[in-house]
Amino acid sequence: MELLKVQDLSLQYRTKSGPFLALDRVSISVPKGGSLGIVGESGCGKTTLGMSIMGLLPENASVVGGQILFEGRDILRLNPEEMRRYRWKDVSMVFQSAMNSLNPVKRVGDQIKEVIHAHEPAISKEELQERVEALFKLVNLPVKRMRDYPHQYSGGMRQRAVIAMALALNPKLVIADEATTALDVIVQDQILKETKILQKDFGLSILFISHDIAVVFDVCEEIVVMYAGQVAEVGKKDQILKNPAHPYTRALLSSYPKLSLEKERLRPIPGDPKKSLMFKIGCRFVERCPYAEKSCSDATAQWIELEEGHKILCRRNLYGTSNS
Amino acid sequence: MNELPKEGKGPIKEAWELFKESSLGKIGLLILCLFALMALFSFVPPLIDPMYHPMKGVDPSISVSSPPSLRHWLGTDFMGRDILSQLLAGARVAFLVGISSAFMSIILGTFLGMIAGYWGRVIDTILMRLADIIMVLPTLLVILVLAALFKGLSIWSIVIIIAIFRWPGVSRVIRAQTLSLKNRPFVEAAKAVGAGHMRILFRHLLPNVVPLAFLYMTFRVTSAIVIEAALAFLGFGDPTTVSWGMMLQWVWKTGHMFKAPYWLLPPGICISLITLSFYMIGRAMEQVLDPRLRRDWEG
Amino acid sequence: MERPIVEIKDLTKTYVTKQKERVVALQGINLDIKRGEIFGLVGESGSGKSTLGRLILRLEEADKGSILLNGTDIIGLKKKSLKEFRREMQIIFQDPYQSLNPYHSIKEILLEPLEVHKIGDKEKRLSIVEETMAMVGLLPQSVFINAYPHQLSGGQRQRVAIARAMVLRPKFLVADEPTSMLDASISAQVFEILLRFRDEFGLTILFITHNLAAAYYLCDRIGVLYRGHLVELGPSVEILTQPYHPYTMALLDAIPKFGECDILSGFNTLQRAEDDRYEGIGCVFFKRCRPAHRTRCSHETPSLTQVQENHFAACFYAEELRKRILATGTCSLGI
Repeated sequence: MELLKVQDLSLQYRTKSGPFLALDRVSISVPKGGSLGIVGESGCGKTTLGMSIMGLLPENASVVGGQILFEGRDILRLNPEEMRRYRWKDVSMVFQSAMNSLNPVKRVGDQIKEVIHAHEPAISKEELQERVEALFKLVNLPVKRMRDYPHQYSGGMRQRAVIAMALALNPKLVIADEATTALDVIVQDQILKETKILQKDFGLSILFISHDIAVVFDVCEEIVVMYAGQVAEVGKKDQILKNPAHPYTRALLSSYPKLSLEKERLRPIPGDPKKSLMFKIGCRFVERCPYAEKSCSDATAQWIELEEGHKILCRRNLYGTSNS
Repeated sequence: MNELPKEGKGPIKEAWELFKESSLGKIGLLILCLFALMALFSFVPPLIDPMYHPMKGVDPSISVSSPPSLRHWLGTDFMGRDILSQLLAGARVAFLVGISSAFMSIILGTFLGMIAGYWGRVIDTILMRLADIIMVLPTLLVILVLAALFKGLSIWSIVIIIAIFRWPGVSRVIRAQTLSLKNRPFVEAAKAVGAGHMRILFRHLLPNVVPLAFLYMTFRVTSAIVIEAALAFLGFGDPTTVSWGMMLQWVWKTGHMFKAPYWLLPPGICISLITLSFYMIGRAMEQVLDPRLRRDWEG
Repeated sequence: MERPIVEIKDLTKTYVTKQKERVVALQGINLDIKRGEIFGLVGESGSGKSTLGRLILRLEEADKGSILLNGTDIIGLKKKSLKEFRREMQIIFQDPYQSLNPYHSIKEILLEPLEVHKIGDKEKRLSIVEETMAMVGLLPQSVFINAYPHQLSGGQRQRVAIARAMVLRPKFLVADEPTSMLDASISAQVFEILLRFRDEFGLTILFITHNLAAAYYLCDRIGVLYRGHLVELGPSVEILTQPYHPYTMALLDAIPKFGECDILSGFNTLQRAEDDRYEGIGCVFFKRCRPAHRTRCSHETPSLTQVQENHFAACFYAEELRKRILATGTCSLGI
């Protein structure tokens, strides 16, 4: 069964310059114990997607369509009390900047204790201490640093603390939004390896959001490529690597320097990544797509299934084997 | 090839647009405009009839404080002088005093603050110690002492003294801002290009510091007006100038505090209102300054 | 053999923190940058890579050592003579949102270098500016020239920063992590621009980055910095496929790999160390180095020695490590 299923989610922001469609009929699913990566550039809506699953949207955001089903329940319909129980216990989040999660004037250990206590008020002091110590060991943080303040930690340690906080209530799903982007590559590698181990040991599901393709492909089994508020391509890691069928995916992959002996000249996509517009007919990528035709901007793009588990949102099936 | 730049105007015009969005700012500006009109209009009454002159004009038929009438819309003071003309003249003085001394203290404070922040070390220490010493002195008391020593001060002396006492507060803030700006990449880029100190101070740092200085100016204006009013009220003001504070002093000194509300209330209300309007403008300006910094973050 | 455009000798810089601690940012760096090459300086945070760029531009002062630009030591120079040299070298920074003065229009930003050096008259300056804008792709010039930074995207702002640096037609450019804050597709555009300047104008570039893949793509040679020490130096292809220093190998192990990947990994030269501070004795990498020799590496400091033609590593056991790897064969990752 799928743990999380987002179906045709459309979400709009009210801004000074008018409504802004941040998500347009987005559908993704995360299986139990599996890992899904969402990759895209700025403005594609990946962070908004993560926040809506957590129920952490700003005031000026409103869902205009679709559902978010967690274990079959539509969390968009939860009342505040149910939402409070859902948030952090069922699904938790790891942000990019640890300072978004850590209070600089409280000891790290105490902050994690608070999180647990808020959800389990009956817990005893001794058990709290044990739980937090166990968490520290889990994320490879020295237990004796529990009483330190965040500024006394290094960047990598802070991120580990944030992960510990996310795991404090044994959630079923962890959303990582650019969780390792600010870290040095060696620390990032360590944390990603540790995450994979945790995932296996605890059957944790992970939704990994990042603009860094290399990291997403390294960590996740299944990948979703987003552009301008829409899902452009969905598939298993190998499927997409062997055959990136959506012109945007292909263009995105080709703008990454590869570590192969034949140095290919990168072909950058001209222009800037688009922030989505309101209810526009036609493909969002049309202005930058090297293969665009007139029909691409006149009619909505279609889902084309290339093979089991691999599909793209495009009117023209340029590369893949088509089932149609 | 590229997407074109977003719609927008220069930073100053953008700031104005943002300012207009704040209702507080609009009201404050409106009130201020009313006072400005009053100040401008203050030249008119004596031209209509010499008896309307705020200081010297006396209504020949009235020699006591009288309530509002057709001839005198706000009534007259104890000498038979028109209160409305005095109020208008007071507006003129408030603007003069408030804005001049605020302006002077801002210029001085910005200049010294930038120098202290930019050059640091010895110059910074000297300037900031000086600022500390001045800040610690109680402005009003010192002015009172000086007024007593010199047997009264002219209005311009008051303006200058207020300016001298008020620059330290501004300079601290400007210095802090300069310190943070000094190491920004765009300043370093200017250094890397070979720009000299003067260019960096005036073309790069100053424009970035002015909005903050401007904001502080709105606070300074109110305090200058209030200090002058206090001085006048206590009898240490310039006796040849009609200001709202002076009007209050006359009410008090001639024992009309509870007898002539038409004389007591107008100057008091004016002082409060002008202070309020500057405060509102200041708040609106804060809103302008903040989002501009935050707006740059995308993604 | 032509003289290198930049020669760095024994460059050292130390900071004293508020807690009166001495932090060594750079220690005895020796480096030459050849004319027309793109040299990659790779390191993590705390490696001192940005400091090196800033010292070259004299934005900060070194404690010891010399920096020769076209044969002249620019460290001793006073302001007036330094100004002349500023025409030859420029810098672009990491944060496109802070690199431009928000109160200046693009026109003012780009004219400034020309005004500072009193180049040409008004017309000539404007034509240089427009030409440079075309080179970085800020077209049409008439639209961009009167815009203000807040109207531009991150990628566009970085182009302005590059144009500003190039308006003086310098021979040497320090690019301090210019793409770290940009999306992948925009970074690729920036790489294109830099390559074009090198190809068409013979611009020499010092490309500072933490991203080894980007350095590999863009650069001819790479220098690896660890905590202020240059630990390996060589052609970029060799650094990636034939690393000699254990730290370089640790970096290669850590890079997330996807798609075709010809680099080796699985070196496993890194070990965890709770206290990895360097006290100044022995090798800077000793505490985290798994294959290190317990006595020698903790007491003697290795210097950069030649391991192949044009390839240097600061490790006593570089050659042995290499032989061991070739013998046991490590897993090569690829799809």
